[in-house]
Order: sequence, then C-alpha cells, then structure tokens
Amino acid sequence: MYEHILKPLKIRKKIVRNRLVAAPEVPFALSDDHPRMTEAFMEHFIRKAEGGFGMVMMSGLCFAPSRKSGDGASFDIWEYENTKRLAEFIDRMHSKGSLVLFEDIPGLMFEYNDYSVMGEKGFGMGPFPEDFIKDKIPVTKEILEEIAEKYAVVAKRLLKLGADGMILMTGPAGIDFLSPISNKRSDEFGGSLENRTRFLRMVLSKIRETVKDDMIIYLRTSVSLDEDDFGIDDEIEMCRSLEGLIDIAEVSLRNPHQTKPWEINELIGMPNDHMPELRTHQVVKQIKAAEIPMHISTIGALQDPEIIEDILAKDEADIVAMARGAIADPDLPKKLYENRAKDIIPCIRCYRCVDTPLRDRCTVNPTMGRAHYLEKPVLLSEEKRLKVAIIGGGPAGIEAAIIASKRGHKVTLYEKEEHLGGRLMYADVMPFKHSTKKFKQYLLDHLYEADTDIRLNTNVTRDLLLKEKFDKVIIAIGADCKDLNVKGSEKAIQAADIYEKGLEVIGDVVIIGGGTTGCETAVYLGELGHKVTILTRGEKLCRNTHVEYMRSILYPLQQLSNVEVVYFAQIKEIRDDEVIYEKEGQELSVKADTAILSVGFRERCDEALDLWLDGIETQIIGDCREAKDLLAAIGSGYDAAMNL
Amino acid sequence: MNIDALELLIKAHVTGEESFFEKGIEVLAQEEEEKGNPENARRIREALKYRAYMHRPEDYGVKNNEN
Repeated sequence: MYEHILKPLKIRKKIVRNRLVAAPEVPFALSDDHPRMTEAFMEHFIRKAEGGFGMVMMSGLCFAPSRKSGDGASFDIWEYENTKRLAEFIDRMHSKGSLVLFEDIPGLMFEYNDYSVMGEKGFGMGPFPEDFIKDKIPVTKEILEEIAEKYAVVAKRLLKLGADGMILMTGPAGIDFLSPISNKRSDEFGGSLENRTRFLRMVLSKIRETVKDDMIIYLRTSVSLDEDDFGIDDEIEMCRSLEGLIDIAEVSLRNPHQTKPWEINELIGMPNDHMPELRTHQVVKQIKAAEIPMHISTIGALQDPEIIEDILAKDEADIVAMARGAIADPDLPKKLYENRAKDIIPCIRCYRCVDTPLRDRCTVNPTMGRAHYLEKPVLLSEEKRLKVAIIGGGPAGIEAAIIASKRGHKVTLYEKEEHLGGRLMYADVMPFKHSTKKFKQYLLDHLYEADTDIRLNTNVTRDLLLKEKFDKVIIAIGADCKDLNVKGSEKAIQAADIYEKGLEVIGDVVIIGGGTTGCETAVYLGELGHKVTILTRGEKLCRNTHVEYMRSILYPLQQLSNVEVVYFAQIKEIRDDEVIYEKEGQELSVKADTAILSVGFRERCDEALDLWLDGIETQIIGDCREAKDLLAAIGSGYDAAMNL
Repeated sequence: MNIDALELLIKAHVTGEESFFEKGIEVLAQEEEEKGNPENARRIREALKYRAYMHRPEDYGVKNNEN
C-alpha cells in the first residue's frame, strides 16, 4: 500500500484527496483559434481528475484584463464565452474529485511587456539582449502596485468561478525579481533579498487579502545551483517571509546560463535519462529540512510510486507534482488505489508532450490529446470477439496485441526473431535509455499477462495465415536499415544491428549519419571509450527529432572529448580501416576499425503487401507502413487494435 | 553487453555517482582481458577520462552546430 501517497491533506478549507499533483501544462494544440477552451482541452485535464490526482493544475489562462485572448495560447478569463466554459470545466473537475488550480502563464506581468520591470536588464526571465530592452519604460513603484492590485482582481474572479487555487510562478515566465542576475534595480525592489522578494510579497498579500481561506495559493520557484544566483538558502529565507501568504511552495531547478529570456531551459526543470534521478528533489529536501512554514511540493521526473512513497514517508516533501508522468499515465493514482502499480505506464522522458506545438502527443500514452474522441478499450461481448493474427513483435505489434487481447480478441502474435521488442532492443543496451528499457519491460509484461499466443522464430506466409483461418490480420513487420550506395559499403555494419544482433564494435569508430540513432550510438560508444567520428552530410545533428530531445542527446555528445563531428561530409568509400569522404572539395579520410551506417530506415511495404490476403480485413501499421518513431509505432498499434 | 556491467552503468546514470561508472567500466575491461584483448581493455579503461558531464547537468544549454 502507498499509505503516504494516498493520505489526504487539509489545506485551509480544502481537502486534497491524496499527495499527487498533476503539474501545470498547456496543451497548445488542443485549443481552437480564438482560443477557447475546447472539449479536447477540457478532456485532457479531466482525464487526470478521473485518474485520481489530488490536484490538477492548468496553465494557459490569460489573467491580464487588457490583454487580448490568444497571446501565448491563453484563454481570456474576462471574455464571456470563456468564462462560461471555465466554470463548466471547474465543475467537471470537481465532479471527479480533484481540486483545480490555475497558473498565471503567460503571466499578468506580460501585460507590461513594453516596460522594463527589471531596470537596466531583463523583464522577468533572465538577462535580455540589449536591443530588446532599449526602448522599454522603467516600471515604477506605482505600476508595480497596480499589477499587485490586478492580481487581486484576478483572484476574485477565479474564486467566483469556483477555482480551488491559484498558482504563481517566479523564475522563467513569471514574477522574477528574485534573481540578482536578472534584477538590476537599484530601488527598493532590487539589491538585497528582502528587496528582491518585496514585489512578490506585495502580490501575495493582495491575493491573500482577497481570497482569505477560500483558495490555495501555490508558489512555484526555481532555484539555481550557481552561487551568484537565487539559491537554496535564498529560497528558505524567502519562504519564511511568506508565512501565511502561500500554502504550498514548489521548488525546481533553473539554468543560470540561459541567454534568451524566452528560451526556458526545459532540460534542467524536466530531467532526462542523462541526468541523475532525484536531482531536483535533492534540493527540495534541503528546503523541507529547514522547516519552512508551508507545505512543500517536489517535482522533476518523479513517477515511480516506490520512490514517491519513500520521499513522503521520510517527510522530505508533503506533495509530489508531476507533469510528464501524469501525461504518460493519467490513471496513476487510481492504479495505486487499486493496488496495480505495475500497470503504470512509464514516462520515457522523450519530451514529445512538451515539444510539439502543433500536436500534443505522448509516445507511451496514445490517448494523450485524443481522449475526447477515442473509445476506451473495454471487453467486447462474446460474439464480437475475433481470431486475430498480428505479424511482428516490435512496439507496434506488441501494443496492438495488448489492446486487442484486452478487448477479448483471440490474438496470435508472430515474430521472426527469437525475441520480442524490435527496434526497442537498443534500450536493453544503452545505459542512458533506462526509462525506455522500463517501458519495453512494461510492454512485455502486459503482453505476457494478456491471453496472447506468442510464436517466436516464425516466418509468416500467406499459406500459414490461410491455414489458421484468421478473421483479421495486422501486419507490423517494421523497417529495414537503409544502405549507402558507395564503394565498400558492405564493410560497414548497421547501427541497429549492434543492438538487435549484438554485433561487435572494435577500436576507432566512424558513424555515417548524424540523425538521432547515429548520435545516440556515438554517445553509447563514446562512453565505452571508443574514439568516435560522426560523418554527416548536413549542417546539423539530430534533424530528425524535436528540439528538446535533440538537446538531451547533444549535451553528452558534446561533452565527450573522444567524439568528433564532421559536417558537410560526402562519403566516397569505406575501406577496411578507414572511411574516405569529401568536404569542401577536398578528399579526406578518417581511421575506422569499425564503420557504422546510420542513414535511416526503409519501410517494408512490399513485404507487407506480399502477406495481404483477399477477403480478410488487414491493417498495415507501424514502421512497415511509414518508418517513423516510437510514438507513431505505439499509436498505430493502439488504433489498429481499436479498429478490429 | 555484460549484464553486470550494464546494470552498473545504468546505476551510474540513475544516481549520477561516478563510482558505478568506474566499476561498470572495470567489469567490461576485465572481460576483455580474459578474452585476451588487452588493447580493448586499455581503450575501455580510457573511457573514464572522456566523460565528466555527469556532475554538471546544470550546464545543459546546448547549441546545434555552433562549435
């Protein structure tokens, strides 16, 4: 049992049913052009309430009265239609038992975008370029008092609509007077910590005066590990000065080196597998140990219930917040109540949920952003259950088999290799893919639990399918690695074969191809001491992935001194111990005891069509239809099983 | 990869403790020595000197192709 996680908490007049918080996020793609709170947007958050989170937080409200709806995908809470929908949203959240809190992003401060709040430098999110602030108007004490009053007006509005709480964010995108790096004011709002926290106290005092005990005030702060910046001791002292004003303090880490105010460094606040676990929590527990006079919430890639229970049991935090973890599995708390922790879908920290402004999706949870139109996989009545063949034991095939079995179909899963996993095999080998390894294990565990007939080492033919008399067929036979049409290409090995076939890599390595697979392979081999050279024909690495994930790979890549990258390299020949390439008209060579090809994948469409049987409904899914990523594979597996 | 070494290397990533990385690398290096590949063992042990980023993920700002 997870007694500490599932223990309620009373905060002022509110009872939070457990200690799990779905941290704020803005699913941009789920709002419409106005923007208005669409059914898709509401459903995204309601799923988390339904799933049992004690508090669900939403970002993206436009608090500023004079600001136009739509800036930064925000909903204008002063517009009639939005107000109506917001009230409905809050009611629907309450009907599921969750408290609902709203975050001030984009901040009310943004109403004052023409002003330089920080004086010489910066508005609110770290140092600004000089040309950005040169025409700004200094913000006077009177204006700051006006802003504080407006926060109180917003609080009153939210209270009237039925909100349970308001979230204020300092640091990037919020009220950031705290950092001495960005706050260069020389008046009573700059300089000492007391001065730098003065505006925050002004705002919080006005809000608290308005909402009294009827709303929770949740403050999000990010501290820096840079000794010149707002740090742990500052946070502790600030929290002490906010006694009675805020109810919960959430602390995360900030990157002191960001150079652009709008470039929030997601990676420090949202750790990936290259960062040690609990890095943020190590900071939070120090603040909790200082006995600050409010509840403290910890955050930072926390999803494992054992770890969360341990944190709460040791009194290292009062509340645990998660954003990506709640997206990966909105039913996480419910699964704990039902003693089904093993069913929690692990987040793989791939950043897809935060990095696709046009399509909010989750790699491991194919229902994310689609909950408003997808049906849930429920057990079908006996007469609707079919005999189904699924060909291919990669991620698409496995997901299809799990969901189809869950719906009651009689599934036979065929795999030509002696193991399941397909392209996911790399997760078993790369030490920095431990979250993906967990997800792979999650898939396999659920496949084995499902009543699925698994046949390994089986080459499926049309005759076999005909003989077995299947009602429906799903083909998920994956993609092949592309070859390179140059002299000596047969001397190279495919990157995928290192993971899938255990091919040996020796000595100095040349990786041909600077995509995600090539770069991850470079990190993997570089960490094992190989001297690695990536030869890429383009000007950038990892172009086939999205920016946050790209950063998560490039950081370790750039830190490994034994890994080099050659851009604009045209491969000419692969020899036994070197690779010849051309760059800027010059023919050059690089030593290669092992040459590795990583130049993409080719769909196995023709092979899939060879298995097509007239008269039997067949779906072709995953990489064999279109070689894409894990998100596409899992999504197509889910959809195919639901279409049966 | 040797399963013990892999577990140690994963632990190094999960905890951020370099000692796990050192132990994992040593398991791999010894395995190579046992196979009669001293050159591979030497190369693997050299991995320790190339990798110092575990301790400073706060420097996580990276730029693509700006070096």
